[in-house]
Amino acid sequence: MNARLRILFVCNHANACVRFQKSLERERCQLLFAANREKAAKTLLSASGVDAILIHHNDLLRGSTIASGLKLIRPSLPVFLLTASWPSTGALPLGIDAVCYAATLNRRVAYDVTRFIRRLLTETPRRMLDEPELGHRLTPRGSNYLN
Amino acid sequence: MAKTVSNLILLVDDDTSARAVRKVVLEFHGHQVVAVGDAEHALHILQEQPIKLVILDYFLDGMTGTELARTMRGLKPQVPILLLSGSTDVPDGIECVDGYLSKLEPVAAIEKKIAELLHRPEASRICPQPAAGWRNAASKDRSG
Repeated sequence: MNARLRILFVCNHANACVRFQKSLERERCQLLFAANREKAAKTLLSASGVDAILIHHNDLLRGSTIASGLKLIRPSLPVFLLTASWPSTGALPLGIDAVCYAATLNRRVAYDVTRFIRRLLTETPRRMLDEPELGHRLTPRGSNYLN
Repeated sequence: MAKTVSNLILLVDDDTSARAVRKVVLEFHGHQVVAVGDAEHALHILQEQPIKLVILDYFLDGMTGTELARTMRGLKPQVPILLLSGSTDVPDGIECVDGYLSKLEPVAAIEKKIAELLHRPEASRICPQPAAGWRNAASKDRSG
């Protein structure tokens, strides 16, 4: 049985993501929800035992900006960007440890995202970040997530 | 109107995201914060508000944090200045600030340094001799 993940979920479309949040919870994720960067920072300062940050933003630059800010508080905490925009350069945006591409958010995406995060967290963190081939392989492509 | 609080901190960083998060962190630790993104605004706030500590980012738009620190010294020499830098090298002009930390330092380390600077007696603060250009500017300020 997989251990429960404690994830800070940053999304400014709370209502649109309710079903997705429930799907994440069904995948044994305890979600701490923040609607914006400032609220995410406050949550990160006061909450303990957070395993990862999941930012849902379709604007890569804004997602990266939020991530960079939160890295000031917890530099070693992995930050995942859930987005419908694939980076044109293929490079990871600043502050982001992995990009999960998903055109729509549904139960399948929740399953894949949590599996992906669990895998990243159980691998040796340094190796994940330093080894380009592995990092690339673990960054899922769109076709995996489109229904 | 000037705020009448004990620990009012002036935070200067031109990176909007870093500034917003740093402000949240400082407020979380019980400080009152005025956060600005440019030197001109920062100098105005320093003169108008009862600032107890200045936190400067090294890389500002159009100038460095140490250049701004020199000007601030001329205006309010008693206010301690903490410089934060993302660079791994010690920045130039470090002698004109009271403390220097890497941005990569944990929040607790930065907070510890802030507490140290806020509680340091004024008499023990090192106020280095300013550069010649700065001295002229400061004298002009005092006479004007």
